[in-house]
Amino acid sequence: MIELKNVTKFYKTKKGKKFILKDVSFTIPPKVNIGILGRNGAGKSTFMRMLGGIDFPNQGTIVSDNSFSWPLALSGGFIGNMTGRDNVKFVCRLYSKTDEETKEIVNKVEEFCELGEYFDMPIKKYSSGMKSRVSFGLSLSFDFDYILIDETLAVGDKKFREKSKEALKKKIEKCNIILVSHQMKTLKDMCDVGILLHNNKLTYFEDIKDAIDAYNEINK
Amino acid sequence: MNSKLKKRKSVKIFKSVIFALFLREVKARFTSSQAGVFWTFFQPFITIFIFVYIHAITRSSEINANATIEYSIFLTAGIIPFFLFKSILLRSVGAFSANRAIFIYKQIKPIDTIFARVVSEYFFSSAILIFFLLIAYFLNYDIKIKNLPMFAFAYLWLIIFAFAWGLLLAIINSFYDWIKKLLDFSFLPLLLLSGVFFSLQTVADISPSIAKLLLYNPLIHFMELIHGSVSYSLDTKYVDYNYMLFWTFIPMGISLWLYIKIEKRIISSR
Repeated sequence: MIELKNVTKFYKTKKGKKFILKDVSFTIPPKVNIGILGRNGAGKSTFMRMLGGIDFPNQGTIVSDNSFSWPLALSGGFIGNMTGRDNVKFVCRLYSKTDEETKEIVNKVEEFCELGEYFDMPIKKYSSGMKSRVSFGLSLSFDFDYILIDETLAVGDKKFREKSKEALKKKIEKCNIILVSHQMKTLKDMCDVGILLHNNKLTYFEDIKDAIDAYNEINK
Repeated sequence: MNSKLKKRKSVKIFKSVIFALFLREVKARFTSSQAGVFWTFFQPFITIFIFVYIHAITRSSEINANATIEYSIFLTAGIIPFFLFKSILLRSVGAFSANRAIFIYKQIKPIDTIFARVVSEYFFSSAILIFFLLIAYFLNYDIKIKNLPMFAFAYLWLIIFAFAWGLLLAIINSFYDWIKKLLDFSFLPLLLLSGVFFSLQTVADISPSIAKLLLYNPLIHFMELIHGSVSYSLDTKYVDYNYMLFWTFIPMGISLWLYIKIEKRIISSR
């Protein structure tokens, strides 16, 4: 369960405050996979980052007793001059994994991301697709209550996209995801419920299909 | 639902984060470039060599081996802590911007990156100290330290002093990034003015008023304390502990207060 209490979030711009959420109170029911929709700039990523605990409301609080992954996004999360392998080890250490668990996770990620010898090259030489392979494989190796995914499912070649989707489907038997995407098919496949961010309001839909319809409506 | 992750105690999280960041710093130093390792050990070595050389030629009339040995120990005792101070400041000032990408892991607080860099610089500094002691051992130098606990105390205090200033500079640097450049240029004058290669007594013998002026620099108090605790022929009568406390805990208070105020802003800035 995730509870938003009087959450207000804005960015200061030259023209004044740009609101993303204005005094929103809302409870997201537990054990559902959530799709987040909204136009560019509506604040989807910011909302995700607030759930992940790396961005903060200007007013109000977000309360949850669940664990959240880091927000998987196209950029960030890696130390450029370290290899893929060392980055995976680094994240394992951040989460206090034992040496044995770390070894297991490194093997799992190496196998999943299929990068071959690139896995032992510095991350700064990776393309964004390669990075998201590692970061996706890594997030699947931990036991979070919620995995936060920001568009990353859309990258990579077709074969890898299919593979990630399959892996994620298997994973969400045990945990839940919160997914930001502009791909309606992915949202329909993966999510149960939908949240639409529009005009600094948050609308909850018990069926992801209704959320997609509403999203298409505002895009007309 | 699996809740293993959220039950980690905050002390354990802190330890894991510092350990992960520390290993990363050490690894970066020893793998990314051979030059990094080289400079870690040879920069202080070369500096000491130059000063010993200058010392030997300027006093050629009264040259004797014992004086040179004594002076090189005197220099080493000051230069290693000075380089530690310098590298803590230089590594801290850019710590926030260099680690922006990994702030997406919410357990990493910006201040942790500074802790980790202080710990790793301390680690390198200790390695250099051991390296120098080994050299001295093979050269059959007779090293007697007058007051080892006092030396350790001064060394530790210097680290705390450097941390306070490093954090303060890192915070200012996240708004005004010319601070880092300014800092790069300020170390040479600081090296010359901080009593690293002379004792204040020698200055006071020539000009008491200059000595008085030099004492406004808090770092010279640390150097006097370090030199006085190492060498039998020197004392610590110029060390003003209150002055050192002032310049440690005022910046510490200000930087921690500022940090608490802007921590969230540093994390969420992209």
